[in-house]
Amino acid sequence: MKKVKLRMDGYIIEAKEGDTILEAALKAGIYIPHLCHHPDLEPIGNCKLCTVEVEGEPIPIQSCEKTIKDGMVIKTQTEAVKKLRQTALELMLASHPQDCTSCNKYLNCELQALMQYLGVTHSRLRHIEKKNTSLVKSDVLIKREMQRCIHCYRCIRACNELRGAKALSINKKNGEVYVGFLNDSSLMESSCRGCSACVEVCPTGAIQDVEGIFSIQTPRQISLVPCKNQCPTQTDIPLYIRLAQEGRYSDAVSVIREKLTFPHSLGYICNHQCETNCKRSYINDSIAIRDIKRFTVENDLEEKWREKTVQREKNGKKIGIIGGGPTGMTAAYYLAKLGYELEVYERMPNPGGMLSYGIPKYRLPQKIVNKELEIIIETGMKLFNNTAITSLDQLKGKGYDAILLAIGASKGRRPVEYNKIWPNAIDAVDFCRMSCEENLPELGENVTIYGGGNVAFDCARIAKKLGVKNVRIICMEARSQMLADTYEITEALKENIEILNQMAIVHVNESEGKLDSLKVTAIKNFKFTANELEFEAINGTEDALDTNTLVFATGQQPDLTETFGIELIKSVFPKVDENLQTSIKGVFAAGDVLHGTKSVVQAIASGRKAATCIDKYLGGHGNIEEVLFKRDPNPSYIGSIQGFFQLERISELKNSEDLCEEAKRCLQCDLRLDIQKAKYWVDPQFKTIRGVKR
Amino acid sequence: MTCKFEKIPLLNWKNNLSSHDCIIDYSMNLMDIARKESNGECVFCREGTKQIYEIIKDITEGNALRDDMDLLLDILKQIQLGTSCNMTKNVALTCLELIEAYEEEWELHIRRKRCSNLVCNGMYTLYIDPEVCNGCSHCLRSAPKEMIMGEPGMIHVINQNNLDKLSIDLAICPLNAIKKAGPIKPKLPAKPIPVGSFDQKATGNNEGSRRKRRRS
Repeated sequence: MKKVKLRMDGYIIEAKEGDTILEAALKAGIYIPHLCHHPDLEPIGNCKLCTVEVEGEPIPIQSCEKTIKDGMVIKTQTEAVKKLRQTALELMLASHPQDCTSCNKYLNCELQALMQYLGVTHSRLRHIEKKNTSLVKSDVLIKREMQRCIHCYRCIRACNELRGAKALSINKKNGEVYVGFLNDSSLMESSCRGCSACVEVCPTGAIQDVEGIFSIQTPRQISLVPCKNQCPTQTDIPLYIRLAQEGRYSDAVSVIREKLTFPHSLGYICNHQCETNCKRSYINDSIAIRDIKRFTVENDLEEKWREKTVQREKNGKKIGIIGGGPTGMTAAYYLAKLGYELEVYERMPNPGGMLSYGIPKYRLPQKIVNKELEIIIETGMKLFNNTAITSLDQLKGKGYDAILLAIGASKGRRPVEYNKIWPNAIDAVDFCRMSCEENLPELGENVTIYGGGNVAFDCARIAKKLGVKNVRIICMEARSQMLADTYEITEALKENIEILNQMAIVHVNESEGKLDSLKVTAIKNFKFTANELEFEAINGTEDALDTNTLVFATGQQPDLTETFGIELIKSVFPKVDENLQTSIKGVFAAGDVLHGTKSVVQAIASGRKAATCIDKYLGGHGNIEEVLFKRDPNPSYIGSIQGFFQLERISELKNSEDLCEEAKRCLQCDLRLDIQKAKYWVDPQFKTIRGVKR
Repeated sequence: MTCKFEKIPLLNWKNNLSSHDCIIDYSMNLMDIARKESNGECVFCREGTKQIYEIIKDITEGNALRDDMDLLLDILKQIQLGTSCNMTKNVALTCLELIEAYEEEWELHIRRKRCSNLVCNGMYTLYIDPEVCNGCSHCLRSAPKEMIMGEPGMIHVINQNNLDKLSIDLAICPLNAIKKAGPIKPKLPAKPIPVGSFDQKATGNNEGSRRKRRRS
């Protein structure tokens, strides 16, 4: 790289050949004010704030446009340029609102910083009301307050040059220019790709994200990518969608496998928080992230991740894991790779936990689970099936340096008054297990399920698929408030499953020791108190329903008692500290056992955390992260798609064309993170000048 | 999009101005064309011409502020120094020339709110000369509603309340009875009276006094 020497404000500074005066100055720690300049965009020299004097030039010039030459003599702070800058800023402010404190960009605004730097206020000039600012309206993703626009056209350049989306343009009406969509089209008609680069580069509050789209609980850089942020394991979703679109399925799987242990199974049954929070869902349906994941895993012929995965040498330490479900197996996988000796105890004949014994087979075929379990077991661990551990005493003398309790929530929980054992009343968790084991008892003609979550729907649909004539779900919530996924509800209705909303069971009638009918009533509202369920019944709505089998899908809890040997809270959940350690040193707990049923991906995240905590406890760094795919820089150019927001979700990805079309719908929220930040005069880099005083 | 300098015929003011024109009105029109021609890119072109236009417009309407002359000179100098395009550079220069060459006329507008040729909108009043008007009602039919009072055979009177001066065409009167008045106001009937009955000395509540000079 060739260096060029210049004299700037009495300093000899060195700069890279080809840089502009402004770039050279900023790098050398000399601040020159600028507004339309942005490090990622081509200069246009509009704002006149970066004006400097160059020896040999008759008039002041724009430093953002002029390339440096060896021996150039530049003055950045003469009275003439200061005056010019101030006038330029005053002119911009003449049409800019003065309500700074009510603007969301307050204290985070480049214009405001420049006002301070140049000592300019809303001033002696005539205040100008721009007429066209109201032509450009906000939409569901972007809030536009165009009266705050100071016409730097960074947004237009970002949209056209950087992204190639070509959605924004300089429009003109009644002799006045304004920034708007090309040809004044609407968001839906436009070629806007929703990348929000315009928001990222806007120096004022003219173009902003609509509040409420992004979580405010996490730092901005994280919450800007909602799918990744909402995924319990923070899988790099935008990246693998991009790779999938390029047909690089194996690379996509590598990205997925960096964070997830059961990607294929999740491709079937993940509760996809990512999709729920997808930014596209504010416009139309979210990206089919789960389907894309499944497609890439199923079409990954190379399995490149296997070459990159790291197996450390044995370190001689031994860990026992109780429970071979997603949490236990995930922790075992990462700990085995770190070099620990692993022994896993599973009470059932096969590992997999809820993947094997909870989720109905019509939703997730067992062979997929088995294949993914094999991959985990291959890393090296001893698996003891059919071995229930009910007390820590059983593991005494086995020489474990740490123990992880990951037994899940395998016991049904009913409203207390129904704790009596009837042969034809089954807890949902047992019902699902028996279904997976194919040993469900005779169900009869009428099956009633009590509960409105996904598990209730699993039970109902299992029953229906077994040929039960009448299957009904009794649910206390209203239809719109049900906890189950909309997909499950619509499928159930298609299968002629009856859903009774805002109903509760008041009493059960027995005959010959079995349940035979249920007294139900419509309810207005309900709440859970300490140990009980309270509801307000609507008088005169009582009804009796005949039932041959009653399934309680009213919650699950761990099968754990005080005799296990650790301290419990609410007498079922283990008490843990922030490092997942229980009351007994070296005994950790993770997954559903801590809080009752959540999701598989949550269980995996918990398993990962447990692996980290245990490694740290045993003297390691607790680092389980792997880079299975070496990142290239993200593209900045994404091109133009007319009517991008009209693209509908593809409900079933049958082939690579479908996948490509679906992946194309992604807004690529992560790309905006690559856009460089604007520089402020107060930035520490301008505290000292890197040059020789001469 | 570029700012089209060729579209502005007014730049050569020495050839364009007649003795009936007002230099301030001329400058305002110049800036009006320039601001509408601007492609909006450079700040001096987009905001500068608009700002100058607004200031001169205030001057023509009699709403000038005390320091407007200095303000105009200051901004115009910065505009012609800093702007990217020739169009704006040239209009700014032309305007500076006009201020320099006609300084007194500008001062008259700004300080005394007066326009020598009674061109600027805020610096004259319209009236119908009661000595000339023959009650033909031509003006009544062509002017916007309620701006002129009268009926055939009566001397017409312009309603000075809510008057939009620019909407009345002076040439509409075949006898040229619609006239402009500067600070000296003629005596006029308060409402329409029969043609021929106007007596300069007896009628009218208007004393014909000079308009009070505003303190400036």
